[in-house]
Amino acid sequence: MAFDIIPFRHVSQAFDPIFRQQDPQGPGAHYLPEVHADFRHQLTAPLLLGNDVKLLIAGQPGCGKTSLLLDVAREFRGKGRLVVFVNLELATAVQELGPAEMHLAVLGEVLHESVRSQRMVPDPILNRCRQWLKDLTDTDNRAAGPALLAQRIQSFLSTARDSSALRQALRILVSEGGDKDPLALLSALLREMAESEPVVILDGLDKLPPEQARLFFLDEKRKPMVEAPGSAILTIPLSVVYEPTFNNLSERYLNAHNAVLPAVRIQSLDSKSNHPTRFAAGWDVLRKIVHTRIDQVSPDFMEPDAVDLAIESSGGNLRELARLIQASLVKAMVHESPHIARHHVEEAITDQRESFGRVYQDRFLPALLRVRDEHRLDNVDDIGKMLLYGLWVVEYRNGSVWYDLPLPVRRLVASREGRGG
Amino acid sequence: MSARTFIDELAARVRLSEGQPTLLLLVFPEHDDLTARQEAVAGLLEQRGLRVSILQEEPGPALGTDGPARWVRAADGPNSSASLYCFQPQGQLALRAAARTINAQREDLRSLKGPLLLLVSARTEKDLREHAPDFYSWTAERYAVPPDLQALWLETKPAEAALSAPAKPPIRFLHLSDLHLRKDRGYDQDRVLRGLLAMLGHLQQPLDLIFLTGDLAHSGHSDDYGQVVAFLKNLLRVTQVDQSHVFVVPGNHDADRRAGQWLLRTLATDEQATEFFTKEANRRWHVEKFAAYGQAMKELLGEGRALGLPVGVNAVEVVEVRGERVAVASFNSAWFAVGDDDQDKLWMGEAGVDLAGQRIAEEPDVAVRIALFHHPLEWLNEQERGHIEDYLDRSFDLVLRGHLHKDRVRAEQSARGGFVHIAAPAGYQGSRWPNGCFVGEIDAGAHSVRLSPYAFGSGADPWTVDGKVFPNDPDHGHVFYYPKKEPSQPSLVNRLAGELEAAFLTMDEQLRLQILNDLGVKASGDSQDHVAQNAYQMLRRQGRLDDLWDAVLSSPAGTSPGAFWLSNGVARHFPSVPSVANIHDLLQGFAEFWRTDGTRYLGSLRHAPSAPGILMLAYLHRVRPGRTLQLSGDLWNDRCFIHVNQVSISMPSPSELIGMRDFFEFKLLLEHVQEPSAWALTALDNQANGRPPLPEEALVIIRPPDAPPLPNRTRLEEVTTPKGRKVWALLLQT
Repeated sequence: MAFDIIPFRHVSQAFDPIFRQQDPQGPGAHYLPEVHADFRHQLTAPLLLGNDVKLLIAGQPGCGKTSLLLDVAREFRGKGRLVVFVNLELATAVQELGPAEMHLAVLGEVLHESVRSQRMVPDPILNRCRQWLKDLTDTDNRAAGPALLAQRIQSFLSTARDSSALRQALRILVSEGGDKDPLALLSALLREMAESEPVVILDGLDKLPPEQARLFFLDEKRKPMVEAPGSAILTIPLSVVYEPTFNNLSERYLNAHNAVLPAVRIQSLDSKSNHPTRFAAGWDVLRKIVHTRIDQVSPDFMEPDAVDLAIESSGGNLRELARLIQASLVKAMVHESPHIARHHVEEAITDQRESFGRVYQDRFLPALLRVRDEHRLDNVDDIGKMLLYGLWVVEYRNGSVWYDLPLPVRRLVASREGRGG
Repeated sequence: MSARTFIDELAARVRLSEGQPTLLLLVFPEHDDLTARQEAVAGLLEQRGLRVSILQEEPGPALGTDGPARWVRAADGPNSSASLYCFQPQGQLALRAAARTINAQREDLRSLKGPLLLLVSARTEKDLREHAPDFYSWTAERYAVPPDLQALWLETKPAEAALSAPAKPPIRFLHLSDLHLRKDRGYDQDRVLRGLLAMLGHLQQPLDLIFLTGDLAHSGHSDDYGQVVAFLKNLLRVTQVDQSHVFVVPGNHDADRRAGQWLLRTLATDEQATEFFTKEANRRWHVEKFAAYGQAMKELLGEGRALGLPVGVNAVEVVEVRGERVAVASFNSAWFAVGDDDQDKLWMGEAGVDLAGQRIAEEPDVAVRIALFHHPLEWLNEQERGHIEDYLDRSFDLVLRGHLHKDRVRAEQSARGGFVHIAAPAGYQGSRWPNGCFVGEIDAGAHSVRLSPYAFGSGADPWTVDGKVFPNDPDHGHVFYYPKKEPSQPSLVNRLAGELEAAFLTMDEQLRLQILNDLGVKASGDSQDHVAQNAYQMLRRQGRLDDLWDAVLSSPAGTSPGAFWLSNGVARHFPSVPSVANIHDLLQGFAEFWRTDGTRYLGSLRHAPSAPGILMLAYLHRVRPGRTLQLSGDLWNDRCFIHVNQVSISMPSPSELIGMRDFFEFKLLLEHVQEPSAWALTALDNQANGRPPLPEEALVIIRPPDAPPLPNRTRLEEVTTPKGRKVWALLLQT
């Protein structure tokens, strides 16, 4: 019988890290809300209880931050709240982001969201927005409604992305204070919309370079979004979490002590023995994630122990899991196997180990050994951050923070250790 | 992993993701020559039946430093299995800067139309992992390329490949016709078509194009098109052919006979036919017969598609398949189809076929020309039949049709040229009757097409090759040859007839009267607009469009609407201009375009005074910065002063609003000067008075042909206006 590539194509696409099903207002049809149920509950409970809550979220690449936030946005929109989802990476140049650009991006998105959700923006505040834009761009905004104002603000940010002169002009305007500061305007607008209990979600702040992030969150007196009324969730870089002064942020952000979205926990650390034990609930969630994608072809498309091996190897990082299954799929296809077997996953893990091996540096070994043997990553210095960002180690939280090595790294470490580093 | 295992796996990986966005990283040892390795990877993949396009550096910032947005644009096009790009930023700082951009722009990767293979050194991989972690985690697979890859390539590379360019793979197409889909055929219809899809899913080589020559539905009612659309969606999914590469014409069963029962049964004379086919308004009731067909096909294949409904130049679409341009003319032979007595009563429109042929002949570098319609030529009214056949002989390589539910292929040659005439069998007429289709491979270089007939066998089986159709070549299909077509001289004015008409009709009424007076044309009509329309048709029939062109472009004022129409039309004939980051790049690009093509186009535009302005506008229409460039402004030629203002870029905002922003402003002057004159610079300052400052401005001076030559043909420099503003100035020689 001829080899049928079609099911392979379907599964490949569903697991491609780039792929997202058509779902402009949400995280994609394959998203499972229970993936981060505990963290999600911690994040959303304060939003349900209060209307002026500021929250943070950090995490390793691929752990599911953006998907979670998109789904939270959908949930709160469903509750009738005004949810303003700002993708700062799209709106402006995150690398040189200043508070003014950030507040302006939020302002534009609040106006836009109010149009989309058919909420009235009172005239006085619209007039203030019109005047503000006129002062900055000398455009005639007299007839501009909220949609056009939002559009013009977004246009201004797009232009400022490429023009340091414009960014400078904006900063000069902000320094004049009062109504000239976009924060004042944003605050007034959010106050006007208070009945809709606004929630601003700022995605993309986690892409700030470390020095910039330190300045933005730790050194600046005025913390991002804290002075704006309403609730807000801000993504932050993991690097900030490991700064010594990070704890100070807990005065301003309700969940600063617990802002890291961990990998889906497939193991729990036994505090007495300091050994990880299998955490069944995490496995169940990840198996479900795999099956929502492969069941469209056939529930038997991937052998159960192949699924489990892929989960184990991913360490619970969702993007890594997807990539590993994709790689296993190719192995199966090359062998013209009609389904993915455990040995296909094994082959993919071997490739992944080689991939880590290519960028391995001897100076990583002490930290990696400590993670493997003691599940600790002390003094998260530059190497530690590199290991976290590069997914050499996976961060888990049950009770306290602990770390482990995903299977390919574990195997690589074993081989390097044998060579005496 | 050995090189052979690696490349087999990579080929499987690419095949798996054809037509889908995916990012693969190929990591080479440090100090490897990536450009040479790129050739090896491409060659080895092509040996495995894949089509690979190598992304080249464009003018302006390097692809590498511009990130995924630009890669996606460079890889734009559905015709290759994968795109290859060597990402090798020079130096650590450049790499780190690029890494940030890449990380920020990774969302753009979702717009890829197929796999992108990024070739990097081990060092670059390390830096990407460190400085672009999100981007890095978006790679679907990272391969360490085995060191013996180059040896494998040298060992397996065809000897002739070293001496000459490798032969281009053929253009592969499916010709399907007469499906007659309807709701009440249920299971029988379903099993036959499933067999067809199963066969197409198993084709060893993917298809590039799909042609459907009519009778998609059975009744022409909207009810039937639910079946048609569902089937065609499956067809697109299985074949992975882009919707822009699917061409459809209506047949007699796609006409709603109820809608047509009170309409003219046929045309009586050649004059009537000219009236019918040259004026859209005269066809407006007949178009209604195809309303359900048109609606369904537009929803499926996109707005602006020909679908056999417009006539003349607008029936033609040109698409690219692996860099080869394929022109397809979609004709409607069913305008007057009513019942079983249609023979000799049908008209397809000689004027339309003529114009379509002209348009194709003037398209640059067309590799193959294909005409589609539903009925056999014998069914057309005898007054036009012979003429249409003559035009087809001159203008087309392949003529595809259906209707008779019987396969028939002939290579036809005449004193005027000739074509391969392919009549497809019925795609579905019930499992008790033959159901079939053709899969073809066009070798444009050899002027040949290989046709493989496929037919439904039974029950659950995929369709198989039908050995009865070409009994001498039962296994591999039969090759037919068509004569080579001679290129004709381009006549931009003829090609732009539609735009010229629009430009003329949108002109000021007094100005139009003046032009008609100057041209000595006397036309009548119920209104001034009607007079103008009649006058235009009169000039067209008299072959005097060139005169009208000159008159429109030389009229003393108010040419801007006309110029905009015309520049849009001209722009269709330019290739896309790659992204520009700033005004300097844009001016440099325009200067290069002017140097290579400007003079040729100026000639085509008959050197009218506003022609340089039109060219500049046309160039701007084709620029693809970020997303879209929008233009507005005025063109004046009474003082040889042309300016384009409010050049804006629209970018999709995070919330899918379209954001507009002022980008830059041009002033275009025709002057004899050696450098920007004080007058021109003062004019810039005066223009700027009382207006919000623009981020950038430029002055473009085009020197007329009679101006003494510049030492360098182009000069681009920054100059200062009397008010101390810095602007870019570009001087060009005609």
